[in-house]
Amino acid sequence: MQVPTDADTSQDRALSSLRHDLRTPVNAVLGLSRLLLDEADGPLGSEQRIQVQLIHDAARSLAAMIDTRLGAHHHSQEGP
Amino acid sequence: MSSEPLHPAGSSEPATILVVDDHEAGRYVTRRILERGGYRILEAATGQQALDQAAQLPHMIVLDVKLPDFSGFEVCRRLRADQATAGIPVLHLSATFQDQDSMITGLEGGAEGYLTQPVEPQVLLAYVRALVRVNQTHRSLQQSEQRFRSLFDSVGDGLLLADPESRRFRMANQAICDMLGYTRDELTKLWITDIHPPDMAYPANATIEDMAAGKVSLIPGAAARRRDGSTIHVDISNTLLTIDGRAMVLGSFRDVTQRRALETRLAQSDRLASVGLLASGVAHELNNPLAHVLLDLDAVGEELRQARDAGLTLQGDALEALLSKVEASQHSAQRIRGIVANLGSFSGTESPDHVPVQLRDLLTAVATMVSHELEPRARLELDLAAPQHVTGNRGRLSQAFLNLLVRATRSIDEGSPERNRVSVRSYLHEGACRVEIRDTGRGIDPDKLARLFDPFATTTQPGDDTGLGLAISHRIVEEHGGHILVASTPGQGSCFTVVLPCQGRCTPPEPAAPQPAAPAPARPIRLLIIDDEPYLRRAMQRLLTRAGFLVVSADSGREAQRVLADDEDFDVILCDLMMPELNGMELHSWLVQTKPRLARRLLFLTGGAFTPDAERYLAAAGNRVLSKPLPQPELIAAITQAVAARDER
Repeated sequence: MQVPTDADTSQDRALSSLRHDLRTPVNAVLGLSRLLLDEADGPLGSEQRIQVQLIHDAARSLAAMIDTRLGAHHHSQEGP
Repeated sequence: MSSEPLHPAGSSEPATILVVDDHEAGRYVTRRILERGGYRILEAATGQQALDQAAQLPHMIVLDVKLPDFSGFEVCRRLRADQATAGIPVLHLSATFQDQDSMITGLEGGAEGYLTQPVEPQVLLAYVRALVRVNQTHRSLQQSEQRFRSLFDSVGDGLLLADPESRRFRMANQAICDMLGYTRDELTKLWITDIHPPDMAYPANATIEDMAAGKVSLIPGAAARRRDGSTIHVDISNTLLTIDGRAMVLGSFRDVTQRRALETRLAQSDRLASVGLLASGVAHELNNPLAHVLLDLDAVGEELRQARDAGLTLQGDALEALLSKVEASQHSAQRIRGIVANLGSFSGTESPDHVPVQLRDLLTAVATMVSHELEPRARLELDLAAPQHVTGNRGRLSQAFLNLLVRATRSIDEGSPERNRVSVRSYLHEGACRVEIRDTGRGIDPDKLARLFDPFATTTQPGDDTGLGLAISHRIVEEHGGHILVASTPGQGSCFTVVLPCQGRCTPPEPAAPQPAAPAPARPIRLLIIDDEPYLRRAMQRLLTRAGFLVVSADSGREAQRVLADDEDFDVILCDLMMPELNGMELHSWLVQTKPRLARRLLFLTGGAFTPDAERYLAAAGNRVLSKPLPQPELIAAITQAVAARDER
């Protein structure tokens, strides 16, 4: 196990902040596309449903990528 | 979607949720999900806005952790610190802090739940529903507490909850705070003994243990100490309660200080009324024998003067006629003495309590007092059993019976004394003394019977046969441990029965039987008589000189001091109590200091009325006190007894 240095912790903080900045809009896209798929405010046409589903899936893979690359869930030790 | 009702219990309004998120799109998503669930939404984008909106008391808050001004954790901490918002459940919803540490920080910081984004809409709704329920429980608890608190505080009587185990107070309402002058916080820090100090004689020996055991449920007239040290009188009624699994005593205090003062004033005014009532009757009673004495004395004086002027010596029938007139005068004078002695029984309301009181004598005396008022209305019948005595205060008992007799008398209209009757009967019944006062008067309406003894009853009208007097009688009888029974038939009459605890038959201390003149002593007995009343002094001097005593007299305490300075050779000193210059007590205390031997030989003479100071002095001095007027044999007996007692020492 590495002893964390000042450089490490400031890098951690920068990464964590970046992750939050990226996750927040992605979460919004996820939530909004989910609202559309749930037809909360009116029914979708069949092509529309396919399109929104594609937006939702893309946002999901983007979220997963952010978590993997920028070390979600935990501190930087768990990173790649 | 669940069909669970979203409206808070008892309200037609949907529950309100505050959504806090600085990111507009994220806030919109959360809001839409909750709106679809049927909730009303408040929104905030910063920590400060969140706190401002929380003042509207939403049913719960969905709170983002990362906010531009301060963190969601801090918002939560501040909500908890404010009593108004402390009960609002908080659900953290974080996009960023998804680690366990953050979750723990959030929950420890006071939040009820912690979810991470992206959240499944059903999961979010399930959480929100659960937390709204928590809030509703909290709210109804608060309302119930408030309802209880306002009830507790709106009670006019003081309420104090005491813990018999810790002997401290647990709860107090506003009325008891006002009554005792403490704040609520102060009261709940006090010990029971702080307001009922042991030296204030907790009434009837009631202890908190007795109350906890349910033995004492009402303590009338208990003393309680206020914060400023003053004392009030309260009636306390106790209820046993179990609170938090512990037995508690809830005392309900009613301040009776004012009522007591009022009753005392009432008793005094009633006494004045009694005096007024008596004055006319007594004057009438006294006037008859007095007129007789005056007429006889005039006649005797006239005959003696004629005899002297004619140089005759009276003999035979003439002498007998004179003597019989003198004897008749003596008889009348005795009657006057008896009436005055009766009056004395009414002046004793401050006299000692708890002395044996002979009911027969007392009732006879009281009956004499009303005879004048009774004569034009009814016959008086007395049927008094063998001497019984009760323990109490003679003056107050006289007052009680007088009021009852006056009531009986006045219930009968004037005019037909031969057809009406007031009877007083005393007898023993089941170990108690009963005195029945029955009249053939108007009787009492049944609707007035219930409030007969209530001094404040407004049903009483002037001239009615109820009134203050009955309330006073009732109170006096209760003070003596008794009660009054009433039976009445309108138009036929009433019967009041006073029931008093009986102390059995008693033989009152007989005045020492006049002893035959003492065997001629080797040396005549020397007396000093001190009295400022010249006729009385001379009469006693004449009488006692004739009886063989050597008598020196003094007309004041000062004069007596001068006599005693040169001549200490007195066997007995008869000293009037009330004299203008150096009274009897002052002379006595002078003797105690300068001539203790003579101080012991002093007998006090008194006209009857004692001031409380005089009463205390006489009790402490221990010298015998003789009441004027004293018939000759009793006076001589008292003197010879005093001499005998001196010789024994």
